[in-house]
Amino acid sequence: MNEIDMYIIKLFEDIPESNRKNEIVQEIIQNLNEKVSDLVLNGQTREQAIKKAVDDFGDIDDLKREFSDSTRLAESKRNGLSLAFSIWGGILIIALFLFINFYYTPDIIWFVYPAFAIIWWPMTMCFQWYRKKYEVSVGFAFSVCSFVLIIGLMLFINIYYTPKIIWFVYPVFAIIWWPLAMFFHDLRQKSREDVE
Amino acid sequence: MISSDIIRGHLDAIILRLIYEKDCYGYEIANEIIDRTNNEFKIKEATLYAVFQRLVKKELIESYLGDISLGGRRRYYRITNLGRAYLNEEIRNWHNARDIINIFMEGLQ
Repeated sequence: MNEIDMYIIKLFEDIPESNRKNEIVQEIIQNLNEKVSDLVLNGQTREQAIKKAVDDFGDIDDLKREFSDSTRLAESKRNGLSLAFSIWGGILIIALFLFINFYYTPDIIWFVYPAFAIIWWPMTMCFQWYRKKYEVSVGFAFSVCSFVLIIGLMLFINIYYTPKIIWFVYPVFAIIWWPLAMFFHDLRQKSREDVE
Repeated sequence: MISSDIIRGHLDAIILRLIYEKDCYGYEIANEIIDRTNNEFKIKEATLYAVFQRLVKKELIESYLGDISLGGRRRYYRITNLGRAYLNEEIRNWHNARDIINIFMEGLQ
């Protein structure tokens, strides 16, 4: 490995590894070495030639942008796939619990608890996918959905077991602070951006 | 170096043109640009490779490895049919723009 090789490898070090990156690094190293030996043939010393090749190279911001565009594309595709997997996986598992519940113990409804636990999986995937794809904050939407889910579960327990006593408003009161806090946090963020 | 902003907007077409003439590798194109412009315009290597990446992604050119030479195999680029069509379109656009700009830029002094 010579100075050119090391310079280029260093320059590209914060671009994530990929075949494409290796290809282009090889290509640039080859071309620059050829340039250096041309310069040497024309009478420069090797040190001068290397310095000139490095100085002329320029900065790789444009190249980095090309790379980050395509890695983001690949990533959003991957995210889309794991989202689809989580949705189908979630549906299947919940359906299984539903079947077991009503086939073996039709008198007691208990499938809501595993369903409640499992539904967080596709839900978080969904929000993550949306956030990555559109590069927006989903904190508020996520907190609202979680709120609805948790309260739904509380409501079910309340009405199913103790329909005479309404107590689910207390957890509502406790949990509503979460979406509220997110909402005002977003508002403040927004007004700060407006000022700037 | 002459006003490079205008040129920069047409780098894709310039490089496409050179690849259109014959299959080239990066260093060759950089040299060709210097030669043809009598040293008036130099392209930074880093910019050149960014253009290659973009053109490949748009499927206007494609690359292949050549024979072993100094420091490894040269990566050559060849133009695709899409690339030829794109280049024609770019040249037509350039002629239109040039004619319009000339109306206002020529004849004074």
